[in-house]
Amino acid sequence: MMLLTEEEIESSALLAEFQADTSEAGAIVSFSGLVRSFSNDTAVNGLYLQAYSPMTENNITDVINLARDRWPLCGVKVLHRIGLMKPRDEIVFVATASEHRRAAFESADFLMDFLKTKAIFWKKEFRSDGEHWIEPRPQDYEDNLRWDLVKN
Amino acid sequence: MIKFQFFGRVGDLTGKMSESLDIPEEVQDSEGLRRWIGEFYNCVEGFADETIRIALDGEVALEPCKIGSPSEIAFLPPVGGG
Repeated sequence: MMLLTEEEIESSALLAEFQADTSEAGAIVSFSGLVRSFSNDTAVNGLYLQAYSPMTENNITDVINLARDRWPLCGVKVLHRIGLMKPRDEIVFVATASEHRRAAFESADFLMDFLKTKAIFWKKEFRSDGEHWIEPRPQDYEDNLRWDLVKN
Repeated sequence: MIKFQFFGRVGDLTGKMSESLDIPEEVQDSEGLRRWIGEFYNCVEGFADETIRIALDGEVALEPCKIGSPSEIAFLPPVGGG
């Protein structure tokens, strides 16, 4: 399942819930992304994330289905924060569950690489040097390319 | 009226995230739409930027294309990721 929310994300509660919902899993991997306090040595005071519903949700759901086709998963959960956030807020929670660890690790990594570069969000940083719309870093694109090269 | 939505840096061009507008009858295709909305918000160059995609009723358009009669038109700059 996936959800966009303007509410604060509490990953520890989400993980406990996910673990309870995936009783057949032998491996669970979860990832929490936080709003950084600095961007290239410049202090970040806040972050604003825009989504275009339902295009954003549909797009993320499609990629969750791709992950399910590629790895034997018994559970996937993606929560993404939108709206205004402050440094150290949790911006994203991704959890995957599988019988064995490799599929859980790889699918969580795959989902995060997608979310960082191709998910339909527009992101503005409020920094000490002004407001800036942010596009993915070259490293984010390179990370994403890995999944075109790695065979299933 | 058509609901226009302006995402990311396009909102900085218009000064707002959305507005309902009637488009003139002579605006029939994507090229005409970009020119007209650019003139409307006094930023023709900004809307001519091809990295900004047009979505008609939630579907990204393959330009050049006819506009038809959508209820919503969105301008989408390159996505920033999450």
